[in-house]
Amino acid sequence: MRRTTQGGILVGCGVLFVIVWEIRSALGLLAGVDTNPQLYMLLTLAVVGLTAVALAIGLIGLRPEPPADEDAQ
Amino acid sequence: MSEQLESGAPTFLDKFPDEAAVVRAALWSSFIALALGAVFGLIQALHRTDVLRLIDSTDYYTVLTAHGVLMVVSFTIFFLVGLFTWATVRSFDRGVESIRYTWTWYGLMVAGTLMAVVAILGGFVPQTDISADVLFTFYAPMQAHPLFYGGLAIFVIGTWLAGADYIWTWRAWAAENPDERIPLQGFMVLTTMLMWYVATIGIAIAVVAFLLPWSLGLFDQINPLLTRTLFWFWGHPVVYFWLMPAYLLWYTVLPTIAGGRLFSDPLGRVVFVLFLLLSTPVGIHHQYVDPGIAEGFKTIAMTNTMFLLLPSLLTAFTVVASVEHGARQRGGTGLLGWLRALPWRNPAFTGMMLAGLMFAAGGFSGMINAGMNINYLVHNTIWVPGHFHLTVGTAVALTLMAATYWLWPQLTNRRLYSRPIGLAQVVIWFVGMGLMSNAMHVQGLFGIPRRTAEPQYEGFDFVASFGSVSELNLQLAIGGTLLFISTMLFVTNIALSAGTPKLSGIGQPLSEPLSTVDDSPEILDNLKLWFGIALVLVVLAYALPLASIIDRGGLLGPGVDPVPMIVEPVAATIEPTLGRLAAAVGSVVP
Repeated sequence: MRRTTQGGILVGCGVLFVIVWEIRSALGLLAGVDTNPQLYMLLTLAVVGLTAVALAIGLIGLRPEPPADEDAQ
Repeated sequence: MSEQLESGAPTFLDKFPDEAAVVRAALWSSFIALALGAVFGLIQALHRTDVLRLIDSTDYYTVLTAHGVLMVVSFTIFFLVGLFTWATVRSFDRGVESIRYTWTWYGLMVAGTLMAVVAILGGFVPQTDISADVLFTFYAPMQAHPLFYGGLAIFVIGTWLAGADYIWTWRAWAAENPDERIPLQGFMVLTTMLMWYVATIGIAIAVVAFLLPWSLGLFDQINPLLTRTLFWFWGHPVVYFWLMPAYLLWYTVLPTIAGGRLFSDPLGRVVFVLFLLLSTPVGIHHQYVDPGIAEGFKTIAMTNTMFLLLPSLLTAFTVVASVEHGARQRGGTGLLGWLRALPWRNPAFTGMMLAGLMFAAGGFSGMINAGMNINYLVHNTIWVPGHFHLTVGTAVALTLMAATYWLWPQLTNRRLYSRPIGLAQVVIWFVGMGLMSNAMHVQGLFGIPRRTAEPQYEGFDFVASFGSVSELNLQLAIGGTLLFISTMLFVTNIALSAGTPKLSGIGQPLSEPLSTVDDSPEILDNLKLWFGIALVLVVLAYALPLASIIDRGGLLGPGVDPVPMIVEPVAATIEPTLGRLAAAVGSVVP
């Protein structure tokens, strides 16, 4: 099974949250689409949360366990 | 954990214990400034957005000044001198020539900081006439207590002496190694300090010749535009003084942490030479709306500024190439699949990578600021703080914090208290800054001003083209709170590291570049040449604007009149000529 480390999930979900949330600004400024802020935030959190869960249970994944020397730095 | 850390190599502390003490002291000074600055930043973010008001709006400028000075003068520059002391001693592999001298410049910087901070905090005490509510951009006509200017002057003298310390070490090394090329980290330190010597000419003149005597009452008035121009003479290159330590870490430490090697030593040298040459003759781009400077000079500054994109783009290429090399050494494959093989659990690596990602976004908003025409859209709006919180506030600050997770064990022989907390800290910073900076940029596009406690004053509402201003305020406040939490996690993590057991043999040698110094032309190491050219470029960029300002306003004049657009004098010259030509044609043609 593909496994993503907890660190990988944390970093990935942090970046994903910022990207998805900032798309709202792009939609508003560039396309003139005024999305509902509460709904958009819920949607953002849902996307990030589902991604985190999917990564944690191995439904989606990036790679097998990282090399053993990862913690050596 | 300890087994994994132990490489068997000696640490910096093992080899240079006296210098390690100075580096630790400088870094602690930096972290204390960071923590205090974060407190003021949180107060400011919550007050301005009207989420929580702990101060009167009349104290807002005291808070803003404290936040700005502590963050971008004390935090960054104390870290810089600590890092540069480490890099100089490490790369030349020799101790400083006089540790007493090294402690002297550190002591001067501490004394200068304390003086300036006392002057700023005096603003909270109405019973005293000491105050310095002049913001980080402390130009006239706002006036601070002499203690503030005196403190700044002593602080800058401390940095000059630090630079001399690095040069002293280099010269001693060069005398023993006459045929050797300057090691890369040493080269980066020296070019940065040479840039600093050029840049600080402006602020030294502004403070010592004008602002300090004015605040002491020796002058009744000074020329605001002159001191403002001298401030920005220094005020832009100081941005690179903050950034170049981050670049040093991206070039020389990040590739090692990624498991690889720097792609190109020569490209690194070229980048630092370009920063030495181009950082200073650009400051007038901060003065696009100043009426006393001709548009032509502003256009030249804009052009020079755009040249500065080159070293940043070179860095983006070199650093990403180095990280990719590291990923492939770790088994990464594919066009983008190598990204998976990187050590994302390591807070030092992840923090620096996230900082670089944010820097790319900051570069784009910086180009908006640098363009004369579109700058007018965002000038003095909160867009500008949104921009520099991406650059100095993340590219620099997050890199310095992340690098500390790698550097601190080298300076203390102790492991970090918690790597998971470190990882959470850098991610929280990234998310917090994503929220706060995004809100600032968008509010700036709506015209909301910076530097004010009451952006939506009574009876006036800014119009949001989407969402609402209150929603953006909430986003800004949440982002600022996350940044505060992240800062406290960082400082606490480092402080608690002092309680972890002592280890031995945990040195982390830096990897050699793929393309070594032997591939670079020797002229790159001719620092006298680059320093001389940098001075010439500064003279070319500033001699005429300064002469013009002094000619029309005087050294101590109250100011200068607006300068007409460059097209107007041209038109004034051309129109009579065309008139005479038309008359002549009319007399010939019936």
